Amino acid sequence: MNGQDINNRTDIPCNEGTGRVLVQAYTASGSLPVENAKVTIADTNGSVLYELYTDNSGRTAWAKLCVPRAANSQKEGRRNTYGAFNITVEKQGYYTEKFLNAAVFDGVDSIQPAFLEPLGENVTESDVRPGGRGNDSGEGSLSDNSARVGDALVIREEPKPVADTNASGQGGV
Amino acid sequence: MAIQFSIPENITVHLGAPDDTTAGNVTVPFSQYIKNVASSEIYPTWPENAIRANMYAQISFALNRIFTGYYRVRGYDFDITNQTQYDQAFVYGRDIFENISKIADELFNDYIVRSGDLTPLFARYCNGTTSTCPGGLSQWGSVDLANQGFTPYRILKSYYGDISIVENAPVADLGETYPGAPLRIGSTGNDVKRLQIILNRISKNYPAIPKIAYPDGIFDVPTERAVRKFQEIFNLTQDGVVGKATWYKIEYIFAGIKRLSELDAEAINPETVNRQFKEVISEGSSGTEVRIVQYFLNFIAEFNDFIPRVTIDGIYGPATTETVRAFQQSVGLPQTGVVNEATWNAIFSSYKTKYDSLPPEYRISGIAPYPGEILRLGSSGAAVSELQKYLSKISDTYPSVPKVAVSGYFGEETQDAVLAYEREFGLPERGFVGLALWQSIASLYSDLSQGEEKSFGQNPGYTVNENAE
Repeated sequence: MNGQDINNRTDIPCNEGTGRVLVQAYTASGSLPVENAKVTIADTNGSVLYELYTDNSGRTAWAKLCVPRAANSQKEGRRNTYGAFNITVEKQGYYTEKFLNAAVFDGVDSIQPAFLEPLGENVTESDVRPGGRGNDSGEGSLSDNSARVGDALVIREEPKPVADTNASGQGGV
Repeated sequence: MAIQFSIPENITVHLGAPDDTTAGNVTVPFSQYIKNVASSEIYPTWPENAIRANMYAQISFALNRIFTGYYRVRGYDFDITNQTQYDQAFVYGRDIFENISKIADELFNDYIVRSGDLTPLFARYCNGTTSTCPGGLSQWGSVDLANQGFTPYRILKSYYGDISIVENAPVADLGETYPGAPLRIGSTGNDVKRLQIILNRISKNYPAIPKIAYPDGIFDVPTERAVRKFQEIFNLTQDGVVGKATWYKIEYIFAGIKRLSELDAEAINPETVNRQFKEVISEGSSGTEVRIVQYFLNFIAEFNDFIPRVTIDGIYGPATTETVRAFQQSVGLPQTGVVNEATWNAIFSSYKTKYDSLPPEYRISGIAPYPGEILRLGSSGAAVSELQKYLSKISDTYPSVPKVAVSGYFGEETQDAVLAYEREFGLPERGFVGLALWQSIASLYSDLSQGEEKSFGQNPGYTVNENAE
């Protein structure tokens, strides 16, 4: 019924740390959860690691991910402090949300909120969502510090047609 | 009693440098802002005392911007920017770390002050490596101090000097203030009853939360189960106890649900409003057309953080202009702040798609608007029947309000019920129903009746058989 885990890979070999991420899809500022949104979690090379669906609270299951060890983020100047993943959230009737470079740390649970907005009228495949929704991650002396975890980007676009029927038959929104 | 600074419900963040007019503003709840800042500025793998010290500083910094009106007095329409050379990092839409989230829900209404002062401290900080700030906190330095066993307070004192931490400041416009002591199994009273009614109402939108079959003001096992599930869904510590963090999260979610259903109660069905553009309206206009536009924008604002809410009063002032401008930016129209034909069409279209996106069961709040005239001894008609229906339902949960027959006639019994309602809720006892009292009664009726509606498969909150869990 809800949260069907397809390609739920618990067999990813991992000799580093592990963290978890969960997506929480909602609309109307949290007043309404969005059920059966399709959530795709991929690494930054585009390899899909998880395909999940949100339950009637708008939440997916926890997805376990292989990420750099926590020791890497304990001293300044270290690189490779966290794992970055690209998360896509889509449901018919809503703009698709893409969260790039979502950060996951060793031993830490991450929650990716997905505030879904209903599609505009007469919107077609080729329409780009209009307006100033961009996210400037900003530069400056403080932001160059190695404690800054702010490279995530949010992109909004039209949903692709539903090719498969993995969703459990929920019609409309 | 000293005047205390209230934590704002929301904060408006400019997503760019102050003079970058291409950048948008988002208005988000204050605790959500803090979760985002902390997740962007520091690492969640740091020792907890370092995380807490940094978060106190981030909270105080933001509250100082708000308290001093730093940007507002300079003519900007936001409270703070997300640029680290001016303020602190904030990446709208980013993922949030669960440990940071839990700490934020606990700390969001605590802040640093200079001892004896009332103003939230302008708590400067920097990374402490590539940038240093004398008199400010060093982020990496705080990690070292935490590893040496410093408490958050001691870390802050070592950087900022003679400071205190104000705890549990009131939160503006957010339901009831936390009663100060947690509610748990065994607690009783009106706070508990209100909590049970609210959880039932929330569980209509979040059906994984089991119903509390008897909202009688006694914190029993079904109540604890509902609290635990709420905590799980909203990323709080799942202990079944309503402490400060859980209390404010419940108030916040309930407030959003109420706003949406209240807008819905006044709902202007897009099918009935004439979609045709009438006339240009702008700052200085007033009247029905302005009300309709304000109503539409408020509905749209529930679905979009880039659009601030506006009071629906039919008066087109600076706040309405700001909201219109924000809407225009969000749809790529010129930001004139004036509702011309293109803007009207875009507003109507946006409202319609959001209205249509709500499942039908969320489109009804089940209550009628105020009939427009005071109901008193001797009144009669459909509105009186409606009032009696509401009072009857309320008396099931609040036995101090006597049952009243739905007769359509406002007699002595109805007046007694109205007086009892006023008594129960600490309102002036007058025995007649004007706008404010109507809204209060109707709102409670709505919470109770909507709260009772069970979804398919939802836990009804009572034992079905001996072997049920």
